[in-house]
Amino acid sequence: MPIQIIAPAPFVTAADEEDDEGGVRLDFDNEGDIAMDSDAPRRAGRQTGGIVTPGEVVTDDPQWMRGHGTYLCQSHESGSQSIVSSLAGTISKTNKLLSIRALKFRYVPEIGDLVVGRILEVQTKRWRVDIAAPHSATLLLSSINLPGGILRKRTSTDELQIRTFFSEGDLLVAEVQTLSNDGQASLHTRSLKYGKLRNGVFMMIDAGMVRRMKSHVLTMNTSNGGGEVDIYLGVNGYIYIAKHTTPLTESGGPEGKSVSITRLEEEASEAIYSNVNEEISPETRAEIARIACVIGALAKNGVKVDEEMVHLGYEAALEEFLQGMEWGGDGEMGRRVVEASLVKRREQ
Amino acid sequence: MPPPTPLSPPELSYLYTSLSLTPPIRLDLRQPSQFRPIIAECSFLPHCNGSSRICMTEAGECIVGIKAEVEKDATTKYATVIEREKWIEVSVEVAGGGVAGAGSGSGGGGGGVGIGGISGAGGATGRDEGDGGAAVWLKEGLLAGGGGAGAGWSILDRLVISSGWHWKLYIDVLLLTPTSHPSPLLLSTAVNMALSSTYLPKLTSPHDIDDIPTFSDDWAISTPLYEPTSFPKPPISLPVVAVGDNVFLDPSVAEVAAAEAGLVITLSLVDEEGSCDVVGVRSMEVGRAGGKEGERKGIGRKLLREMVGACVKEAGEVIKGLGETTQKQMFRA
Repeated sequence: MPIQIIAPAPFVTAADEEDDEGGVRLDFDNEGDIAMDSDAPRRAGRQTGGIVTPGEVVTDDPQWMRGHGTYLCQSHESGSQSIVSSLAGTISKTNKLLSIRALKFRYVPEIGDLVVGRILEVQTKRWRVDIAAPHSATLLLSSINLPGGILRKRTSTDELQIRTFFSEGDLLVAEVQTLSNDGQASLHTRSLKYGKLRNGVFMMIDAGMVRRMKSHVLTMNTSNGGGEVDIYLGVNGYIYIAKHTTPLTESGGPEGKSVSITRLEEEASEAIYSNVNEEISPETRAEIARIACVIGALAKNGVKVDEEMVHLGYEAALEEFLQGMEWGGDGEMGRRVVEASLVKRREQ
Repeated sequence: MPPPTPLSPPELSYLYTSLSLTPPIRLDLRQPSQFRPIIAECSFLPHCNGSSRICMTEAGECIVGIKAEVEKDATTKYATVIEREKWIEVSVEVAGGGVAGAGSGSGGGGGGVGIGGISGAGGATGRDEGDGGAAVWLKEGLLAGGGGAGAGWSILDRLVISSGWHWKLYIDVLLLTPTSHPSPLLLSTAVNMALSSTYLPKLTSPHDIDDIPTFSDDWAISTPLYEPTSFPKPPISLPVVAVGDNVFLDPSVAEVAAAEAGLVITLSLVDEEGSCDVVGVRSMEVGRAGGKEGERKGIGRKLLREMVGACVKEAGEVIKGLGETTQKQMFRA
């Protein structure tokens, strides 16, 4: 069967989940009735921490404070103020503060985040970069490594040949340097760890699915003759998986940075903006694709992606592969790999 | 939403090399002739004779509703073919966007919806403005459905009610995710499934009378538009791309961008064994059409044969699978 046809999941009404105690109960210490109307399923949805939609009244009880994802709305008839959801998500409660956690959201940049981005537009002295955030980020010409060394000032020649560094569609790994008032990020690539991405594949998952870690650049040893593979897990959910390259990204570690600055002059040549891939063996390509499938399967099955899970998932995928299982067009293999890796994590 | 950006040159070259290896490595480790799973549902719109909903990973979601209306036969002695083709009206609409219609009523309004860059099928650029783009292409496949063993068979014959009266089919396609890449596979599977779930009320008045026909209001004895047990089945269009000497079915957006040649092949199932007839071929715009940058080359005879062959081989299973799913969902209760 070349194609797998899945019937849609059956529709579940909020009332069916009434026994679920895992959610937030708004009425647990309430004397009065917080329900706005007698509509049973809707009330049940609110009480069990079920899903609220934008515009839905969460509560009109004055004891609650309005948090993220909600706004206050004055009722026409009674004049009382009620808290209304502005997002589709679940209710979360901290003491008396009500907030809505969105089910699906875009990435919110924070200073110091490692992100993978794609150039959207080239402007006179800067680039506009898509980082899956509500606003596209900017990358100034002055915050990249110019060929010829970090201490060089940018010149008008650099401005004229801005497209030789990055042009539309190029992928890069960068760090969020500053944030403006409206949350727009400004990036920098002033380290040899950052810069243009080559020799691999790009994939995206939901922004919330990448766990924040110490380091977002992993280097994995792959089997089947695949050699070493670098994984750039952007906090924004953009991921780049590439063949490990020695000369430029070697300088990790605590002292790596100081070393890299002194050596920068020789190394930050035109080569760092090259658009040509290295020679990549079919074995490496197969392992890169396998890692991409593992990460995709983890995200699809609701498991947050971090270093440990990528390693465990990859191991599980290899074991399945040795038993002759093929990644197919169906999600079955992905589910099995994720389950196997979760079992492994519990064992540790 | 930002507009879709092109892939970077290193990405494209990586993809191209991976896909032209022997054996090729697809980024999702699929076999060259393997499709991605789809979520399909049919016969869920209460006011339609037939309906379907298809979800795909990359292409998004699409809803098709088919309604049938009784119409007086307007065919004259001289314009039979043209008049008869108007018995089916297809319109493709993008949620929140314009309508592209084919047929007398809505044709000519707005730019056509170009689907996956099928050449000659309109397109967002409005190249063939007014011809309805995807709608025309879908209708073509429908009218052609039935060659070879089923030669002479036409869906239009099934629409005849009695002398002087016929059904008029309105096929309305609604794309719910306009920002994504509308794939020809998404549209054609949705239309295919909707057609196989289409039932028309049973005629109770005699066939040979010119009066307004009367119908039974019992849906249990209604007649299917396409008999579930007989052939041909509704047609399906499969996108296929070639990179080097390798041929890939159901290409992802990135694969289309890296491909050298692309075709959309319309096929219909003609017998139980799953053999298919090619009823239409359209070329598809791909990223590197004509080989590497600077080179211009066409599709070789051998490659063309391979591309069509790959589709013919798999299409039978796909159409059968869709038909079985439809049957299962129609009679589950």
